[in-house]
Amino acid sequence: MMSHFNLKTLTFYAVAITSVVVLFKGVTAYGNEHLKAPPAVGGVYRINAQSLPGCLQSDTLVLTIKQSGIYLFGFLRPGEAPPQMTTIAAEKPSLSGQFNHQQLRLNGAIPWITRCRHGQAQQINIQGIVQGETLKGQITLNSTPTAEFTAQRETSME
Amino acid sequence: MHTVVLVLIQVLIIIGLSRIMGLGCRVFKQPLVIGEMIAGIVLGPSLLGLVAPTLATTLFPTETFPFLNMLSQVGLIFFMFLIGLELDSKYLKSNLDIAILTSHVSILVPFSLGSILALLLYPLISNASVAFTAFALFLGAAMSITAFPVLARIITENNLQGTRLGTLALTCAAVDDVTAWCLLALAIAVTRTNSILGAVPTILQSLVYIGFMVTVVRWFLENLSSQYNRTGRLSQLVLAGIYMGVVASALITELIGIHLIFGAFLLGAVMPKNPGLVREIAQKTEDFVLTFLLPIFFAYSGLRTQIGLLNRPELWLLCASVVGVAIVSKYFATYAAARVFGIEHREASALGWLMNTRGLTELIVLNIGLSLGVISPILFTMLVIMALVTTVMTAPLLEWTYPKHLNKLDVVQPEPQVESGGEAIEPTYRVLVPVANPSTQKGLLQLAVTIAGNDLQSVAVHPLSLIQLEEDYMFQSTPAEADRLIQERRLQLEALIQTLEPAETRFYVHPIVRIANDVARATAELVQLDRTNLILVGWHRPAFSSNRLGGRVGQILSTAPVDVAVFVDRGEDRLESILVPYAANIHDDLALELALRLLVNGERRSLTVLGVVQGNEDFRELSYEFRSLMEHLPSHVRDRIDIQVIQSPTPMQVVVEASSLVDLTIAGTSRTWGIERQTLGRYTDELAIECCSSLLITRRYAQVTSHLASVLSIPNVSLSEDESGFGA
Repeated sequence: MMSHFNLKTLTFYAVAITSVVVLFKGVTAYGNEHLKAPPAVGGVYRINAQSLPGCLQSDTLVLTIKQSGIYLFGFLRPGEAPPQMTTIAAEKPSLSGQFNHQQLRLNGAIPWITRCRHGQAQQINIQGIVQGETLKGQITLNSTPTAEFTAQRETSME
Repeated sequence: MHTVVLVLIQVLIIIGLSRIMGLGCRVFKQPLVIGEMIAGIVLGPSLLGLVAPTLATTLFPTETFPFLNMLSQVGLIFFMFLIGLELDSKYLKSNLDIAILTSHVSILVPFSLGSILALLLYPLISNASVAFTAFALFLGAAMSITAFPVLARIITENNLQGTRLGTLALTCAAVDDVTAWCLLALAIAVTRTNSILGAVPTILQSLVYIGFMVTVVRWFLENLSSQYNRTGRLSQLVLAGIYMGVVASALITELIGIHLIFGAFLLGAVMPKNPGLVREIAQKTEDFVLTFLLPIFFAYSGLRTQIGLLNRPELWLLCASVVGVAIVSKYFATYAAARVFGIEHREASALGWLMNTRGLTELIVLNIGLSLGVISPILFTMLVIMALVTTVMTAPLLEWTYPKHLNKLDVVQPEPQVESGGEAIEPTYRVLVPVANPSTQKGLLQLAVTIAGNDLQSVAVHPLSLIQLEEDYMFQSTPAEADRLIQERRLQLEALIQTLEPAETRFYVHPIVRIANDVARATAELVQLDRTNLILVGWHRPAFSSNRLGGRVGQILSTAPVDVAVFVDRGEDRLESILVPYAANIHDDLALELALRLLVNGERRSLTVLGVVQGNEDFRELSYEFRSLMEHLPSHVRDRIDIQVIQSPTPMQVVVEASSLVDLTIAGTSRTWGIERQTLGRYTDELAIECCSSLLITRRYAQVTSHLASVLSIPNVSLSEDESGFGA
């Protein structure tokens, strides 16, 4: 064991550890200074849906957003959906999108809105900006005109 | 449904599927941990949630997650205690300088490259609530992990624990383990305080606690160990005290601000490595922890893994970069360091692959990272894939770079060799004797020695004892414990060898004791490596079922690429008269060759070759080769052979009656004698039941193998199917 602490070994350790520490310091200094991760926008948003187009029109809708950096996943469900529906929907998020330049974009299907199940497959497109606990955005259902909405975040999630 | 009932149903499903997947992985020579990891992923949103979301949420609703989490945390605490418990300073014995330096290089390089990779990943898959420093530290720690417990099992399974590579890898992994846990503790402290400076108090408290553990607690445990030596047993009261210590230590480290697992690990690590005490604690703890609680941890990890989140090509590219950096940095850092310290290319390369094993340890780190929010669900999924890939690839890459037939070259303590005039002699005739129970198979080994003969220079008999390890993480699977089991079995075999007669034959009997998960496959591999001529396997089950030669004997018969003889011992010590029921097939040829070999090796032995002609068949002359062989036999051998041909519609009865007059009957696995190579046929092994003498059932594999060449100096002494026997 004593031979482990000879001059050659200690020099090697000194050089190796100093190099790694300097590298790590450099990397973290650069990262902290220049890299900006997107703000946390994940959460459960309750949308006042009375002015929404087509089959989306109802009392409330709930938009759940799961966030992994700029990548977003989510689903839209009725405000009074049973808990099991929420769990099933979370297993297989039907919306996906990205968060870029402070704006979130989500698109995909809405299988959990019962009134939208009839006829052709319904696709929605959501764009918006999160300011504090409020999401202000626009929603487009298939080719219907875009409608604006405001949603409040009820719970946040990573 | 009541939550407790639902959780219990979940546990049933988890344990069942883990076992099934684990068995599946065994087929592909993968460690059990892979099966358990896959079982967890299958039950989660990546598969079950994708194909049957309703079923998935019915079986695994989110309200049960806290219960599963609690069970998995308890499992994890005790698993970490077991890991600490098996971390023995005796692993730090081989090339310590090289191992410590190689290990540290293999941590520093992946850690550095992981931090650099964080520059790419942070803006894409993290969010602003996580400090870059914490993110980079965690990613670096995740990249630099080596799973000591999984690696130790891979080394044991490949019988590498006695080789230079095995001891070097174990030392490296042990050092790596401790260093990586320290790194993880630092990463957790930084994450919780969001800065390195803020983590300083936590680090100082941790150092004080470690100091307390290695001095005061260690002193207390030394006393406990001394008391154990006096009493020789571990009472429930003492065990309860140890378990309370585990939980208390876990709680203290959690309060300090690192994590529960470190306290449990520390207590295991400072436990005196009194072999008896450690074994008893491990054996009393591991069954429940490893079979019940640990699969729940894997399932809980799987429930949080969502491969479906990687739904864009760029995300798969990022995933590939994570996997690539992890593999390349670990491999090349280890390889380069080992090469610099003088380890040869092949070993350095194998060491690089071994150190890539991340398995379970990586999952522990990732779950902590996800719970703390420092890694996002996407990064968690990528790192789980990385852990799977790096663990799956280890065994095949190890086999590729360090094939089994080369293992023997690196054995630290080589087995004694037969030498003559300073030169090692390679035996020309080898008999391999799988011995399941040394205390009951003396007759089998004695027969092997009798077949081998008295020429000490040219023959070798290898009693083979394969120790099958049931579980991946069991204490008995640790290299040190496996070594102890091997030594124990070797001593039993040595004692058996000392009973063999004549005494000089003991000189060429060299036992082989190894660890093997698949006994039949390991036997087949060994046969090829050792160029064995014959496997002699015992079969002493008293009650025969319809599947006579099933089980391991049946598997060896089906898979071994060499001639096999199955011995049914009737406890007859004398071996002077031999009967060979002979028909025209290659298996009977083998029977005849072995009988002739016995005849040559024993001057007082006699042989009866019995041909049975059924129904109205005419008796035909012996073939040219058969007659030629007889003519080439020395007269003192030929004179002791009696050839009889009997006409009878029931050959079996004739053979059974004839067997009552001899000491040993040797019969090929032919339908004529009611014995088939495969055991599930419509023919029964009547002979095995009815035969009055001991019975040797032969199955020929290679027609070119000769069992007579080494005892008779005549050319072309082997018989073959189309040219031998009665008729043709």
